Amino acid sequence: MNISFWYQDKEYKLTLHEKAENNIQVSLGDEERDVIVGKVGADEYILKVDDKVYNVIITTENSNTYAVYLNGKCIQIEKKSAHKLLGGKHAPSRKQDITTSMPGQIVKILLEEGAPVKAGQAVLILEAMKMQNEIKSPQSGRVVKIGPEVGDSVEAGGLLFTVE
Amino acid sequence: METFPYKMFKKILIANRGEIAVRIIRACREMDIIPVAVFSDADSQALHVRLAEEAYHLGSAKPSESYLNIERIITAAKTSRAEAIHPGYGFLAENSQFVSACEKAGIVFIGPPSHPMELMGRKTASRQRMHEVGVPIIPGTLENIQNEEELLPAARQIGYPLLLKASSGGGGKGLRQVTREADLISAFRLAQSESQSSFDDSSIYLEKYMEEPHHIEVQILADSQGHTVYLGERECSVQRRYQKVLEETPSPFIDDKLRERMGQIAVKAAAAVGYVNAGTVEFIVDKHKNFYFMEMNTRLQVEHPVTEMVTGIDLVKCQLEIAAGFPLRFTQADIKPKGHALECRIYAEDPYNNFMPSPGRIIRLHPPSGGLGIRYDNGAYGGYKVPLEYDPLLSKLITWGETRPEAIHRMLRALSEYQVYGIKTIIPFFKQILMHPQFFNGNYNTHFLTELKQEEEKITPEEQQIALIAAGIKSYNLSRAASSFREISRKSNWKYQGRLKSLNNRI
Repeated sequence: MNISFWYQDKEYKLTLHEKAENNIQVSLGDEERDVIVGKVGADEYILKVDDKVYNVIITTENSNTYAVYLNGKCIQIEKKSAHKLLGGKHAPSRKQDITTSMPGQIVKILLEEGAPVKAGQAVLILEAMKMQNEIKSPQSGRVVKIGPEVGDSVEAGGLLFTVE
Repeated sequence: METFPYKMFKKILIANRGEIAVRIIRACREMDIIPVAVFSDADSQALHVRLAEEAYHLGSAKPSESYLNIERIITAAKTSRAEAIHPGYGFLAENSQFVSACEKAGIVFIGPPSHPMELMGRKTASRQRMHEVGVPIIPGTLENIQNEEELLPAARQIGYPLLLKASSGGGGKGLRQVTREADLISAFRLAQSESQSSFDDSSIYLEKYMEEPHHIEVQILADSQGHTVYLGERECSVQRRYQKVLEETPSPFIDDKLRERMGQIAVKAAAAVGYVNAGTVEFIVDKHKNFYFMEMNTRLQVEHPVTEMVTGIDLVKCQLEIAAGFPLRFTQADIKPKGHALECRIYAEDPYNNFMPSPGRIIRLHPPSGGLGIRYDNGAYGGYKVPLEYDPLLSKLITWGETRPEAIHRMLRALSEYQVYGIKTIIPFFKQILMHPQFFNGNYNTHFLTELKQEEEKITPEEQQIALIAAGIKSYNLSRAASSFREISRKSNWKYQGRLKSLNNRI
């Protein structure tokens, strides 16, 4: 089986061949790796890669991304199709949705919809766990949309604002 | 066994949440006391609720509707027929009104009486009292500065650099450092208005600014028969934004002679205010090893486990015994600390994004454990959703070693096994702190963390390769499961169910 993955804008081609039950030969680039697969939970695996032990958790973030948890770190691996859908490499985006990684409450909105914004300028203040955090615009341009209102609670992944 | 005319409680209520509630519940279980938990809407699935015998709902997630609501907590205690309340730390632990409310309801408060609590809660009043009994205090004014005319001569007497501090302050609010006279008046006005808005009290006093300071505190225990002992110190200089991050005992900065003197002064400070129960006297120690009283915390501290690890004394059990009227089981001579202990506070925060809190669902949690000298005081579990309404402290990891290097290496090992997935924690940052030459050599003060540049842990080429392989295996398994599904679905459904079951068992 041949698979292509993307990691940080680079493509990696893998070939998998099942040698025996739970024993898979993986070629990655010009390297051949022998992998013994032990499944210990719904998403949890013990991989023995050339006899070296790795505890990993692999979850499907969405239809285009795997999240691989390893050594306390989270590594996002994208399927090639994700990039095809986006039209290849990330162009400097014209329009960008800013979402929150943590749930919280909007305590202050500093700019109005339609206002010009500089990269690094705070657009609103989100309070989470007793801390007020300035949420800044990643790019210069214009705030075209502000999702929530002051006092609203937002869930993780929720839209905060859109810049163009 | 000696017998006393006192009886241990049969049932107590724990007016707190998180890891400290769990810690107290565990002590209750070991003493055959029935632990009663309370919880807010945000905490119905919290670990402290799961481990308790009974749990009473207080109200909404807002602290004022739950863990700070005196009336509801007293009602829960009465309903459950708890004889005593342990406040933990934070929330109502240092609220003298709560102590009075317990007294009125005929419930024992597991902590000090209201008078020493109130006195130690007021900075200028406690400074005055400490000065009277001969406890060294930071050079500064004993009274609040009333007006700007008084300010200048007082500041000249103390000398620069100095600090303007809010009398009711804490957490760095109403605090200003002044390095030259020209900035004095404007800093004074700022400190006043900040203090007014934060604490509804604009009183300000002056203190000398300490150079290269260490924050070292002494644990004391006092029973109601008048015995007070000290249990060694804790070095708490690894701080950010006036919040402790890592603590250790003994302090690598002080020697046995100074240790003994600080201990004796701490006992003197506690005795001078009629203190009873567990308490902590905080000192600031300058680079010349002069030490000064800063404040007394009239409660159990977050970092109490390091003291327990080296002394072998369970402070929560002592608190319960003292509150029930028992005298201390040991004298000063019996307390012989052994080895070295460290504590890492595991916050749900992103260390590489300005310590931004990271609440949310924990997908998977591999707790650190195993072997001599590892202690894990936790308040979370895999699948638990960390609420955004409260302090982001998830757990505390404590290690003990015969020597300081052993305790550090043990901590590094435990941290490497401690994996929390789904939210960000400061675990990777501790690896950087512990391996830093300044920390490793025990040569650090309160500036250490502020000056430390955070280096984000990189994904190594090997980890990247393993992640790609893992994603490949997952894809392979998914496609194989899908194709075997198609193959089987043409045949008997019964056979398919059986095959699927055996497939599940295999993979």
